[in-house]
Amino acid sequence: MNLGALSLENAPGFWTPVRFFLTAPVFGMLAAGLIFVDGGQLLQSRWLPGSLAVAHAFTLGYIAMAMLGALFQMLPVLMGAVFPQAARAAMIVHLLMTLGTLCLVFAFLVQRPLLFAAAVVLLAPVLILFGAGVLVAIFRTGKVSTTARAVQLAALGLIVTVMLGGYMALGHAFGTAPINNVLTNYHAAWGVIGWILILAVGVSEQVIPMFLTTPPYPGLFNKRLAYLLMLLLVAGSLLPLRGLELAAVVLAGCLMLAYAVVTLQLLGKRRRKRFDITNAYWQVGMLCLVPGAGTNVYSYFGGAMGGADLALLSGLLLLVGFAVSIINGMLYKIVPFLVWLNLRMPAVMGKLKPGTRYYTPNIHEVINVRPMQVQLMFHVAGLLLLVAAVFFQGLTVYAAATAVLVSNLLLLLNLAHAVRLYRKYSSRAIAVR
Amino acid sequence: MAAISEFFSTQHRACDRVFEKMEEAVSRDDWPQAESLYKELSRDTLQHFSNEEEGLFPLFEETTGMQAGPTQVMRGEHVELRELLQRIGDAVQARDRDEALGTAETFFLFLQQHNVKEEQVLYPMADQVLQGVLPELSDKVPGFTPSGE
Ligand SMILES: [Fe+2]
Ligand SMILES: [Fe+2]
Repeated sequence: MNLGALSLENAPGFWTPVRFFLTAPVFGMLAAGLIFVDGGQLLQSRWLPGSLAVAHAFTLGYIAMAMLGALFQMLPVLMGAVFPQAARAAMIVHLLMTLGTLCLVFAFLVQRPLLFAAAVVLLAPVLILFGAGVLVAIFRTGKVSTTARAVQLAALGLIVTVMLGGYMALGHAFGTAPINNVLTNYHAAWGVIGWILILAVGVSEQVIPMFLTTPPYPGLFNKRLAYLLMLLLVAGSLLPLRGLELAAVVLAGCLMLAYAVVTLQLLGKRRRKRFDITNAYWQVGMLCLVPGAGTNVYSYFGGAMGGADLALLSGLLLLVGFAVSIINGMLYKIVPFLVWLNLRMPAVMGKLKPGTRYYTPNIHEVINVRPMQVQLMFHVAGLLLLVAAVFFQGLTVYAAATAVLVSNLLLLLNLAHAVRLYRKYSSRAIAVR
Repeated sequence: MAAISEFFSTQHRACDRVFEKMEEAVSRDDWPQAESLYKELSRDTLQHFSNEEEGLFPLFEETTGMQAGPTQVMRGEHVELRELLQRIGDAVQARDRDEALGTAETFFLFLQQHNVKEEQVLYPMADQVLQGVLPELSDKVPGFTPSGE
């Protein structure tokens, strides 16, 4: 264990994670814009170019973008290791992610082979290298926490997801492979369960009891959950037996359900009873995970609901309902804290002249609770309308797209407010020094 | 759990409970209650810091020879935590609800990340390297017993 990692001096700078966090809502807005322009056809089937474009704007542009930013911030403490050149690496990763995701989204929309090729070149190496880096770094650390172990498994999930996706994108680029349903299903399963859900499980194990002051997750359930999910994924993917795959889908569904219920129960037992925006977002996320997991199993058994594409509905609930919600909530915890922490850095590191003091706004002042609540309302409205739009089409689609657009715009504005405050006060802190 | 991790982590939990009650009192505008809970919080937290700064850290530094290592980082964070604690106290005195709650949240988040680092890295390490000198620690830290009882 490298004790240097304890030092705030080795914490990545302010912009390292924040550039990712500011980009996420921009892709959320792009996704909303695409839904609006499309007018709702894309909500009828997950195989349409438009739905694939929107899905990747969310998964890569919003979800993976924010998760990578958070990992750049978390890793030094989690692994007790310093990330060499974190600031520069983050800048490059962010640039490639942004350009690559744009290429991929538009590749789906206009179906140009060259764009698919460009997306693969821009995205696959950087994501696979990032995943491999995390995997190896945590492996080297030896004895690590449950959370770090889950992060490691999630990195594996990311690598597999990107490989499957990259392979299919190359198929589009060179016209060698038509859309392959089986591979697409694996790609989606590894992405949603292997990467997103496993990371969420690991993060919640530590974050929920600590920052939301709940009791710890009971027993070994959550500690083993990441392993169980990974086991099911591997078993379901490697052994091409219909029965085994079916069992894996059902079991994974049950585990997601149990995770959501247990987490909701914990959140209900918060010791601090004051309204907490992050808590509200975790609750929304978990409330979406329940029907998201349910519809996935139901659709796997060929279930139907008024002609809607249930797999698409499930994806919507799991990605926009579950993943985007908890990420949005975490951003409201992380960004104000980072602003405050980076402003206080000179004081914490003892770089001030003795006796000097300078004022720093408290965390509630960095982003006020009211605008965050307004944004939450638009987010929830957007979710409900999106689900409705899958069934009803028509005007619902435009209302849904507008709500999602406004929600992401407000998130961006709230985060930008925090960043402006950081800029304003950081020049003062330096002046005092 | 080994003696040091057990004792110091328990103090973290105990301080958290008082903090939660104080924050609750502030949000209810129950200022007399908030003031008395603040006093308790301040006393317990400062006692815990001095247990570390005057007991655990020097022993750790002597035994490992690491003067400028992790203990130095923790001392730096204590300075900031003391300042935040003071700012909460001022706000409670002035009955400034928003400032009290906002600073309390700030204190809480910074304290939690501080405690995680201690509980996951520093204490386990101290438990390993200080095994032979635990009686010395109990001289300097009130209530600490090497057996962890
Ligand atoms: Fe401490
Ligand atoms: Fe401590």
